[in-house]
Amino acid sequence: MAGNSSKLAFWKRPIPLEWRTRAYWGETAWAYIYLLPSLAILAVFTFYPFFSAFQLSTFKVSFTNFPGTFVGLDHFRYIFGDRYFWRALWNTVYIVGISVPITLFLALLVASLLNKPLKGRVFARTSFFLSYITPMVAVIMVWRLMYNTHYGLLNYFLSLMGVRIVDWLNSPHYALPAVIILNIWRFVGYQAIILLAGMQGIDKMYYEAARIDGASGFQAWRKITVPLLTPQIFFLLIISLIGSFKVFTEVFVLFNGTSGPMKSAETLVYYIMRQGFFGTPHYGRAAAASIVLFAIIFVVTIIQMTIARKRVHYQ
Amino acid sequence: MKLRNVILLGLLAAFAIGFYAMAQEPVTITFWHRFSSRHETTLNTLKEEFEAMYPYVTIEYVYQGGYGDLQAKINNGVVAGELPTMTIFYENWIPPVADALLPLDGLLSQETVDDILPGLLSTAVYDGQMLTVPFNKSIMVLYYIEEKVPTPPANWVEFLTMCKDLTIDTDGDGIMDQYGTGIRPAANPEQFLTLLNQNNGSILNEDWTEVALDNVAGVQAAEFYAELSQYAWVTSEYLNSNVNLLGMAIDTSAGYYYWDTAAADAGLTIGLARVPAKENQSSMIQGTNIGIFRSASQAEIDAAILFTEFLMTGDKTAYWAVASGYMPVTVSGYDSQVWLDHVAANPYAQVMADQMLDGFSQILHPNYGDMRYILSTFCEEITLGGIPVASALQLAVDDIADLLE
Repeated sequence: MAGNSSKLAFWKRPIPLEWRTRAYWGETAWAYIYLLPSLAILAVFTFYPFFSAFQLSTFKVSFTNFPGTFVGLDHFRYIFGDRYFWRALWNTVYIVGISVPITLFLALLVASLLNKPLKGRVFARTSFFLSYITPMVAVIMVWRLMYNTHYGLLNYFLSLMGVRIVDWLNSPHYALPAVIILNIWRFVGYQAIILLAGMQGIDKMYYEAARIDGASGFQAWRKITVPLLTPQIFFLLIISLIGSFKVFTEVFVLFNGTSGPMKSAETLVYYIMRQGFFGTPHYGRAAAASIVLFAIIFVVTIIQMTIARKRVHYQ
Repeated sequence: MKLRNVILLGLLAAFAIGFYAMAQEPVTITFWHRFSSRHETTLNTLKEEFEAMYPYVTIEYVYQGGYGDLQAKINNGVVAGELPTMTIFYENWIPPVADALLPLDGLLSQETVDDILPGLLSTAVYDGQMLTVPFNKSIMVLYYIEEKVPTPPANWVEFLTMCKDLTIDTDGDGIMDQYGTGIRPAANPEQFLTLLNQNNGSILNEDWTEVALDNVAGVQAAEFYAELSQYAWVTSEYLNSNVNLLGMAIDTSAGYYYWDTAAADAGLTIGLARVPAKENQSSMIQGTNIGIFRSASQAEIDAAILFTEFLMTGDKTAYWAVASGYMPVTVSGYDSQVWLDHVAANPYAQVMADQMLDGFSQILHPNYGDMRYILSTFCEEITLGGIPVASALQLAVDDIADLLE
């Protein structure tokens, strides 16, 4: 019976023997004492704001009579009826749908190249990682110059190739691609380093066996490297999806505080910031929109984790 | 009276005032602002002069970052009950926190109130009470490159014609290498609001019960704005960041220093004129006011009133304007020797002053912030989006009407 206790519902399982020892509880208490400072900070700056947002989303905030008036689901009704919300949602999904797979694919290629015994490999690895560690605002301001229609580096190179120059930051058609390109450039290096670390952990014997069996380099890459990198790929998919859903700084700095020409690059987080902090503050609507964003990211993450159970190979 | 007696009386009076000042309990007033570099230096000079006059008062400036940071700090401060003595405000920030502000009626001298420029008085009054006074104000003016525009346009017709002539594609790649003017629909819908007001149009009717944007005046202003955008660099960048791309631009007078510097760097000369006229030659005033919070102690309030009156005197508002690039906010400011000397040395300042006297401010509607966002979207739709004016106007009118409800 004891051997099968893990199959029982948790309230039917026998109390573990170690729970009956004083030493166990003593160790547990010390563990929580060490965790206390972190838990306190998390409680104040993460858990409390998180639960407060739910409360705030049901109140019309009054600054002189905080928290204001209870309005139920009025804020949710407002944002679901707001065309600017749906546009922001669409823009965000667009960014996620394009930048996440492209970044991951390019990172895989770059990592594969960096894994080869090439000259200047250390310099190359450092260079690729620099894009991630350089302060974001500084990077975006340089990209703003590069995107300049008349004097930017990008249009200069396009003109050398005979391509018509692009009004990156002033045309509604190119504003979102400008954000996506910047996003991809910024995270390819970081993801490549993670994948490179994963590649270097793969046992060489698999490649030896493949070589003996006559597999080509590409076949070895496809049948050995990629499957054994699925833990890292899965990890990167989760964090890049969550990160892409929260794009804001790139838009805010690239378009000088606005959300692009004709609001064409307005993301969900920008919409939340605009409702809460730009112009007339509507904290309740901002909280409601942030809860919707949380729900979307939560559902997407659950779906990912469900898929991962079948597709991720840890051995 | 003998001279000896006069001197004695004078000395006695001086001692009395000195003893009175010394007898005052020291008081510190906190002033939240968002001015840095040369503006902060000017503020410090004003502080030192005031503190020399009132030794028992100490002014503690607290820089709050950008305007967005300052607004958030004020809103959070009202909720948390931690407010400064006084702060600067954009007018549309006032309605949500109006209850926290000290009504200034009866506290400021009538002379000070009567001295405020007429175009600015409406921004100081909310719900029948004077809650703030104007402080750093600027006006929309026409900047033009003298090498490209020998004579600035006087009206809309001339403005459009000159913009057409100035818009050229020298290398035939389809992207203009020079534009007649610059437009910032998202960041600066005040350009459109200036045109609207010049055509005797308005966002709302007089009692704010209906949207008036789609009346004849509004449609004409929108159509002109849309047509102008065909010969304009439409961007979210600061217009003076690419001064050699433009022939002219309607922009804030507070940016004169940056326009002048950018033009000089490009080997060009900047000129200044009043905004081209239609039915009138008005222009939109922008900038912030000063308010005092009720939560301050009586001693702090008294000191803050003194400081406010000090800042509103002719010489001081003129000094602030000359040093900062903003405009004096009182009639006596424009008559002061400080301002007159500045105009004598810089003739462009007279253009700004003339425009300022014809200025209008934003409406003090509680939802003006949201209206501004709707207007900026509307401006983008008829310039960048190529959406017909009638359709875009209908959307904007519907959205603003929802706000009124």
